[in-house]
Amino acid sequence: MAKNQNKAQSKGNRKTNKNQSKAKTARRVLNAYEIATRAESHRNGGDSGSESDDGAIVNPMKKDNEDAEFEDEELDSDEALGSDDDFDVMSSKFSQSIRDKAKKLKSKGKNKGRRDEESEESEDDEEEDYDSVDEGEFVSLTEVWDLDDADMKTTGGKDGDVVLADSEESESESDDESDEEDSEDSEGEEEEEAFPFSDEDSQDEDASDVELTTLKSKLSKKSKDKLHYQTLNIPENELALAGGGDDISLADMLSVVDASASKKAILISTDETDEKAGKPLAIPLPQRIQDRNERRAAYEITKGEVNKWEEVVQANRNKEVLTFDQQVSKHKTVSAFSSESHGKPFNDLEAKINGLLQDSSLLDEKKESTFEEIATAKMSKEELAKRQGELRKMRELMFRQEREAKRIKKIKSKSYRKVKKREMLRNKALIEGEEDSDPEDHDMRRAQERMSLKHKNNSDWAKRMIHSGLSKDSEAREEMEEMLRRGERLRSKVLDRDDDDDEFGDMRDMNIDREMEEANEEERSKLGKTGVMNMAFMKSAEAKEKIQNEEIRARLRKLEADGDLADFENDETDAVDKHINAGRRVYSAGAKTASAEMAEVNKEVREEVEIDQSTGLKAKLNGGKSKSKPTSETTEQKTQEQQPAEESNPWLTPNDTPVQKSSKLRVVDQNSSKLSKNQAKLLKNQAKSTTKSNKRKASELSDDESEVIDMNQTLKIVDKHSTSDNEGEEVNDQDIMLFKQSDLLKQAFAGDDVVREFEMEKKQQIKDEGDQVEDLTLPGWGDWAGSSGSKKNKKNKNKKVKVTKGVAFNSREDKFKDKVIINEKVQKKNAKYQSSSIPFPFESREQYERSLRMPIGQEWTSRETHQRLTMPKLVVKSGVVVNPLKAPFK
Amino acid sequence: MGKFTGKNGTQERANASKYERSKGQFKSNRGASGKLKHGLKKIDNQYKEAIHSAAATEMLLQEDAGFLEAEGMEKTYKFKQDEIKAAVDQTTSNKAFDLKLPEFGPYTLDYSRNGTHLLIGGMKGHIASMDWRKGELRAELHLGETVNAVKYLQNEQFFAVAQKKYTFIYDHEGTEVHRMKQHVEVKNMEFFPYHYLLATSGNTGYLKYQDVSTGTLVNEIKTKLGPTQSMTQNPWNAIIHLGSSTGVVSLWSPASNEALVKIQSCRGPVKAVACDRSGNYMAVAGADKTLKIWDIRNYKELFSYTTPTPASDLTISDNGLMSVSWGPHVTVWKDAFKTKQQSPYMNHLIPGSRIQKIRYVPFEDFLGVGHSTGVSNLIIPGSGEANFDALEVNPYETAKMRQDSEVRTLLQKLPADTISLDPNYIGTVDKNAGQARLSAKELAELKAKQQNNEKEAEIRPNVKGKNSALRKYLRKKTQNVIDQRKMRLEANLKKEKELRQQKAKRDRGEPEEKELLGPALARFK
Repeated sequence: MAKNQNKAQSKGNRKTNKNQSKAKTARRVLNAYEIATRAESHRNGGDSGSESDDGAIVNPMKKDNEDAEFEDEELDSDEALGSDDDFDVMSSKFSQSIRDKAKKLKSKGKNKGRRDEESEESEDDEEEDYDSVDEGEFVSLTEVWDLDDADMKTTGGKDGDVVLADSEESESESDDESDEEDSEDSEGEEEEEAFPFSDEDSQDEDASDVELTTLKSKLSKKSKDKLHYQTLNIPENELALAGGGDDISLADMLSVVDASASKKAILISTDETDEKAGKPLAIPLPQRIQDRNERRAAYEITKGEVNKWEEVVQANRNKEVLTFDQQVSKHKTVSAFSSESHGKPFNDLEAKINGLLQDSSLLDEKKESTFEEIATAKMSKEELAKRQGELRKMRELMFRQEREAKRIKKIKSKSYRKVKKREMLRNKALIEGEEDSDPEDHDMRRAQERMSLKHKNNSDWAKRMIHSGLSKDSEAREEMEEMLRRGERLRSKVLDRDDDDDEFGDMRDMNIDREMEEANEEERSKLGKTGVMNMAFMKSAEAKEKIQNEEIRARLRKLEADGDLADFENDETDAVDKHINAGRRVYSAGAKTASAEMAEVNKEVREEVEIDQSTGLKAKLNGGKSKSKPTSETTEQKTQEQQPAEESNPWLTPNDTPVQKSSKLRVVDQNSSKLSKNQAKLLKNQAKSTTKSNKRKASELSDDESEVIDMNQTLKIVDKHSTSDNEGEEVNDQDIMLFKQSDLLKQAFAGDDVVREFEMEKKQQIKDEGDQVEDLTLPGWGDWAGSSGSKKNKKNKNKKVKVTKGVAFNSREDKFKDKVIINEKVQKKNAKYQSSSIPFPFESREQYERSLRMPIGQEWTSRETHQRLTMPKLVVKSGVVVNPLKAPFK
Repeated sequence: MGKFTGKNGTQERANASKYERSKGQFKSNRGASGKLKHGLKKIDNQYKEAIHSAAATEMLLQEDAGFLEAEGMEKTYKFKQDEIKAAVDQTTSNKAFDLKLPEFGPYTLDYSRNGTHLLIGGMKGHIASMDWRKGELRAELHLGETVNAVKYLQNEQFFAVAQKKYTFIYDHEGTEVHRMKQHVEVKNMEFFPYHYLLATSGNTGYLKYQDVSTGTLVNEIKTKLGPTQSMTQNPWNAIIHLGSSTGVVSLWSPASNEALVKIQSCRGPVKAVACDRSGNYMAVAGADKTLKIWDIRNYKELFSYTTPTPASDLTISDNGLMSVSWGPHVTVWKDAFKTKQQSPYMNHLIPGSRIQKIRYVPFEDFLGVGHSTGVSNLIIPGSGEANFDALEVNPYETAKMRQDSEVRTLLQKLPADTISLDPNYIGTVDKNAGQARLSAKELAELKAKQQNNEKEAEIRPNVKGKNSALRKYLRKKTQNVIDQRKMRLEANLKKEKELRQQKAKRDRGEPEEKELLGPALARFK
């Protein structure tokens, strides 16, 4: 309520003081209101005594100067309504009328401005009527009115119920306004409210209309007044409250309202700026448009959602082949046989164990397997005999022990068993260490102990003992004490290790453990080992092994620590195998070779290290060069030796040209024979004739001449090989003869002029394949009255020609080829293997034909290409689960 | 090695350019946008990778063709066959056989595709098919009739013989399987292993294509060029080259009834034509003693040679060695298509006989020569393809392999009308289609136009429609409204239909069905 008020006020107050804080204004409004009511009641009391105590807030100003008030009221309530828009007025029935009003208001912005000024003046007038209070703290009454309107509208005054019923009767005629007025009337105290509102609504209607409504409202006002007073005079009973006007005021009402409650009202936005709040709510859009907008928004959202996949989808689409053939197997099956299980430790624990085993050199299987053999192989005869004896003895011992065990097993004495068991347990405890290994187990036993308190002298046995005074007996007492101790131990909690100092704890524990171990070791060694393990030689072997392990460990550590190569440094490994037994020299045949091998290994290691250390490329290169140099030099030398030999080979130089020259060049001098002279002459003649022919226009004749020359030349060469060894004269002779022959040939084919025939044929073909003109003119058509006009005229008249497009001469392929005719006709049978138009994705012929360029058949491409190009777009291995696309991180 | 191509850090192989296809034809994917550009890029990458890996496979081609090398003043063409025979290993020298068959010559010959079998045909009717390496005779026939040409079909199991009048097909045992009576007076035969076509030509001037797998005559083309003198096929595109008596070489495919190209190569009759394996070059020998080398990619004459006497036959080996036979001589020319040669690579003389036919042995360094006194194999080092693809043609195939490959090739048989000058045309866009793709709207317009044209051209019979007034009424009347009139009409229609059917039956002469039920029960039918 307070909030509502606040809001209404601030809206009313908007014109004057916008910047004031809301709380302050609210307080001021309250103040002003109280003062106003007080003044009003006072005046009413003065003016009309009988009506004085009705207590309703009746604005006296209405009565006094109604005109001014009218103006005033109209405008402010207008404002109020405007402000009311923010509440759920819009959803109410009369929101439409308000909207109309808002529109009108907008259109008459100017007018309104003027009116505002007026209203302010009137406000000033009103303020003069009040007692002199600090004016700065006041708000104009009209604003308060507005405020009330707003308040009442939202809350719906209780006491107006009765009045409401009345007003219905009087104002039911005006359909639109009735609702509004109802709510207005419901304010109860302000009878006049109806009037300005009704007026207001009809303000833009005809003047007569306005008058009518005012009249109506006046009438209703009177009747209402009457009723009002009646209702209010009713004394308080269970059905109605006492109409004590001063009992309830707006202030009272407001005081009741909890500020925090109003804050929770969702519909009222408190933090909106005044300007925004002042505007009416937007008209709700029609349902279908609203739906459309919603759909659009929803679409946008889903689009954004879907777009996440776009890249993945796009990538998949662009892939040549989409394969789903691999089941993602996260769990590798580890078998004892797989190499992996041997190679890498599976987890930390395994790694640790592996490390330990290696440390104690227990993992060396090879060693294990060969141990026995080596041991026997290296022994001398006596030693072997001794060893065999030992073994025999051991077997004997084992057999005896077995029998002993059998015998013991048969003993039925309970006490013996008890003693035996205790001893065993003690031993076990010693071996296992003091504490039980399993804390869970301990917990369990502790719980049992605590529940039963078995070991707390509560047992019947203990009681009996105490009772019978047996506790004084030292043995019994000891036993009891033992029992108590045990109880104590069982009941004691397992030490919980703190998480924080876990690591340190571990370390400490380990240290302690080691110490303990060492301490216990001796004891254990005495305890645990019996039989074979207890025998001297086994012990010694164990000790030896241990020492060896220690040694190796130390050595490795050293190597790790300073990484020096001291061990590999000394080449001179003496032919002594030191590894077999420390402190003892064993000379054997294998030792020598082994030492040599060792030396080699050492050397290798040193070299490797050297290479590693020579970080510079240069150093490496130098090293390489120095090695490779000698070989390259030798090869060079070799090639040098070879080259001169090759060059000096005279048989290899091609000397065809001089031979040819000699055949072509003929020197004709006086000494030369007649024939040669003749030939020279002929050649001259030929040359002349050719020049002549060149002068002439190019024709077949000239062609033939040149052919003849050609022939001559080539024939010469042909002859050269056909007849093995020709002498100059013979050649010349043949030449002449051949020349004559070619002449003859020409003469022989002179009859059938094939070349001319061919030319004619070509001409005919060009004509046939060119544009075909068909004369469709009907002879005599239109000449019924005899031919008229000139010949020229007649020719053009009625001429009907059909032209079938062919291949023009210029576009023919054989345009410049005299001896070739190329058929330009379309081969219809071939056409069915062609596409009549460019297929879809391609835009031009070039693009399409580019795609056909590479055949995919395996006859034309490599197998790889063929397989790739004929791969299906999607490959799904049967049985593989194809998971839906995963959204990328976006 | 090659240079870095940058992407993926791969190196371009030195021989990669050899495996490139239509190099330089496609340069940029300019204009392409978005998805298409991405797609084209992908295609380009695939292409590059394919070339890269294809270039890598060259490493598998271990064998190298070796040629004769002359030292000092020696010339390769001066080496005699005897000398070579003495120098080469025993197996090779064994293969260089010489069959003396003076009775039925001159001989024509043919090798099977894998080079294992030799088919010889004496003019006077002697036919023999043999495994020449093993020296096993498969079939021998004495036809007692002129033999003009012999040809192995898909393998050594069948061969065709062009006899005096008809052409026959025999099986490996020499049993006559077919007599092809459409192929009359055939002088030349060619077989297309990928199309299973046998092409014949001869004195009639007809070029005929027979499908030997189905037995149908695919096409017979009247060449109008007179009797055919010589014939060869271009192994690259399966185009037939015919040499006519007017010196014109014409190119033919079964898909067209006109010559695709005509080339005036010489003045006299064309004695022999040969194409190299790559399909780039053609050699034409004329009766006017010319020998011309043509580039048949752009139909340009490259070199012109002359022979001392008109050449009788021409052939080009897998490695590009061209041999010419004239009179008793055979000359072999190396690199004849690259530069004009001054001297031959090898030559050979068979004294006292006229050479009829020369053919190179596939995958071997031999040249089979059929002449008037028999057949001989000449050693021509470097002539055969050293690296064979056993999945394609296997010189060492077993019977099982042969059968399998026969089935495979039959399944992969190409239709006859796929033969064209450019074998890569299949799948490409029609030249008349325009350079750019039509939009859906344009396509629709085009289609509508076409349909319109069709409609105009269509001649519709002037028959009365089935839409009678009665039907129309019934149709207009809604289905579920059933009134007296509709029921009556429906009954009438049904009756009418029945009557019509009866009439039709009567017209057909079928006996009328006797009413099984009496008139009283018939109403319930």
